[in-house]
Amino acid sequence: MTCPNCGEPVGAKDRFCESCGANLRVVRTPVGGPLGAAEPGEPCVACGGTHVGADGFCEDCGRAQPAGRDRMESDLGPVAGISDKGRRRARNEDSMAFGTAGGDTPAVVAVVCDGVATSDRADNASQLAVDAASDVLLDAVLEGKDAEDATRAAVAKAVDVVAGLADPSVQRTAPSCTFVSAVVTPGEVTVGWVGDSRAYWLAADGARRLTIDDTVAAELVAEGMSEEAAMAVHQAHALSKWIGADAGDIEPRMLTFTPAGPGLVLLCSDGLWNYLPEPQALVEALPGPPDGVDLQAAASELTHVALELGGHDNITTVLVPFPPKLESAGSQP
Amino acid sequence: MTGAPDFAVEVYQNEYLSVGATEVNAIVTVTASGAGGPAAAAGPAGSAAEVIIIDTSGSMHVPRTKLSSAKQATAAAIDTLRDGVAFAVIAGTDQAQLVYPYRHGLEVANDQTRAEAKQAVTKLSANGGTAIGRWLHLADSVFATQESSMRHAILLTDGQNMHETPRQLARTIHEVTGHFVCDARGVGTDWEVKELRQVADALLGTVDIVAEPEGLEADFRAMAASAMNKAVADVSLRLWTPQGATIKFVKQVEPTLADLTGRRTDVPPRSGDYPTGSWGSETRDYHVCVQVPAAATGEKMLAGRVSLVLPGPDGSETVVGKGNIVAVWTEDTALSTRINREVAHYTGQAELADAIQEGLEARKAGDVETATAKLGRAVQLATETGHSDTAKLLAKVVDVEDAKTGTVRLKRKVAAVDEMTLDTRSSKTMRVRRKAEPAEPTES
Repeated sequence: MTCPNCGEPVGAKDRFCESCGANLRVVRTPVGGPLGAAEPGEPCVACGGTHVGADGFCEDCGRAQPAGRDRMESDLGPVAGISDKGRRRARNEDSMAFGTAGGDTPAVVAVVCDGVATSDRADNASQLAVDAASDVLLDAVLEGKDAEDATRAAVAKAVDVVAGLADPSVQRTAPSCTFVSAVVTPGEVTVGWVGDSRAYWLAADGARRLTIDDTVAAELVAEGMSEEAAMAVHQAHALSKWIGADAGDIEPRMLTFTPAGPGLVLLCSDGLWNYLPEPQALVEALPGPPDGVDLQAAASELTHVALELGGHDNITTVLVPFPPKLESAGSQP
Repeated sequence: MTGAPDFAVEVYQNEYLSVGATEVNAIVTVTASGAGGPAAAAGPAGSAAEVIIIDTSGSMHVPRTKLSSAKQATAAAIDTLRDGVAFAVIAGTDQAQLVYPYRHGLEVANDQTRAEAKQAVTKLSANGGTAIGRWLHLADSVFATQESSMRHAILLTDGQNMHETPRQLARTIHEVTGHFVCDARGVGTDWEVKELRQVADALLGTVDIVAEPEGLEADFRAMAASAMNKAVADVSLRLWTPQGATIKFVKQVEPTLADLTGRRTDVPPRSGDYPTGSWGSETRDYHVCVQVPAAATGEKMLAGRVSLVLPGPDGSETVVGKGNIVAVWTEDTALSTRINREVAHYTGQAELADAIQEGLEARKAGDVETATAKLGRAVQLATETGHSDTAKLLAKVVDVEDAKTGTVRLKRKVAAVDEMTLDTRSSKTMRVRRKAEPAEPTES
């Protein structure tokens, strides 16, 4: 056996690589994001020509090939996701990170953050937040800690790193982002959120939204206003809670449940749910039944639908099946 | 080639286009640095060749100082030639005559040959007409006697091209284009600005008026010195554009305006080369305007890529520098309506030059209305953009009532020298102010 990080030999029972210190029971998306880059030799996305230059532009039609943060894709097996710039925004300010932990308490964790577009360096904020939060969650599940406590700690860590980006001299544009996370174990699902990124439970039967937006409109609805009237309020979509230096002390809202049967946990930014807000519509947009669908193909299809409907915002879609497709504790090295 | 400068390409533009927009504008700044300069004088100087063409038509006697000043200026230019440079002096009338060397060809500069050449120049007398095409033709055949990588000519005239047809001149210019660079100077006020501009534009040189003969010496010395500082010749600007793109124009906009659009040589599959002549350590700006097929919102496209092509031995070439001109389509009007300072600056300069040239043309044709409108617009532009030197020149041609609105009246009497100075200088441009540079712009 060799370490997936440094390639040095490791023992079958080792928890950490003796050479580089990598945790051998954890697989996660790369820090900084699974940055996309056109593979050499791949045809141009616009004209299909085969002369894509080293600088990422097609030598025939000039079209820039998706690169860097514009389109991030990752498929770890038990979890997969796509984060796409969309069609209207100049940058992708969404970020995603996810990973799997083996060992005695196997689990899949995933985090999606949507950088607030009106803030400075929103892409930087969301990426730092997902990386820091997913590390906290992975460490916690490896140590067998409570998922809700872990989620609270992950949000606190995200607040910490994002606040560190703020320039004290320009308060109004402090980098900020939303947050939604999932911890999926063989027994239950825990989601936590701040802001208007959402989690859904997608299943053949009983598909539902798991989160309640932290927005002005959602709070008015909670106070008894009709959805229609709330949506008509000025700045209905404005966030009432977010992660950032100017957000104050915040606690995530959380939900833990045990699904009745197999299905998918979907984490997404508003770039997806603005077009498909209903859980049933999301299920129908999948290329197959929620139980057993190819994760990468499903994320790709949902992204495609949002793009076709206008792609007004950055679109991030992360899918985790329940029960998690992890090897059982016994077979894990 | 040794001593060739390093080329750097920078692009200034607003890459954001509104939905459906197709026109992409960019200012491309090319900076050549590290050219040999004086140190290279010790190098293989045989690669440079200089021909000085001096008008000796009968009118050079009026006033008398004209010919004597031209001789002095030629002598000064000869003195500026560094050892080893191949050179020749041509006297031009309705014929062209090689003054030095005494046989057809070029002579290598050293103390002795420089003295001989100056001696030959002092003996010149003025007699005959003017046929600029024949002068250029002789210069071309003299240059052709040697393999030189850098060929530069100085052409001085005081009169109009009377002794050949405009077609003959145009044909000769066409024949010799690309063979050498030529700076053209008019002395006095009896020459035609259009004619010399035609020569200088085609041969990638400058055109200017030297109103007083006394000014010739300093000007000739400066031109020869500048030619001696060039380190690489026949440099082309290569522009790649995507499939379906149309090139609206490629213009040099600094230090002078020169439209290169029609000078393109296709380089398949998707590039074209535009001649830029010889380079020393210097900076030039180009305005590139490309029309591309519109793409969907959020899409990014490479609308052009600019590099420089240096000729090598045996027809080989070296491509250096790279600047990308990009287009990004957005619905965010805050982005797409942003004005790029560099593009606006040079667009304004080109408009100013056009207004002056068209206004003077209309004035000559007796079209008072058009002349007043155009020159009024020029006054307005010059004032808005801080071209105080141009504004001063304009004030000699029109009475300015209100510079802000461009309200002017044509002066009834205008000195020929003022009109010609305004015309020739209209194509000189002012460098855009960049943050790192001093606050006050300097006329170049």
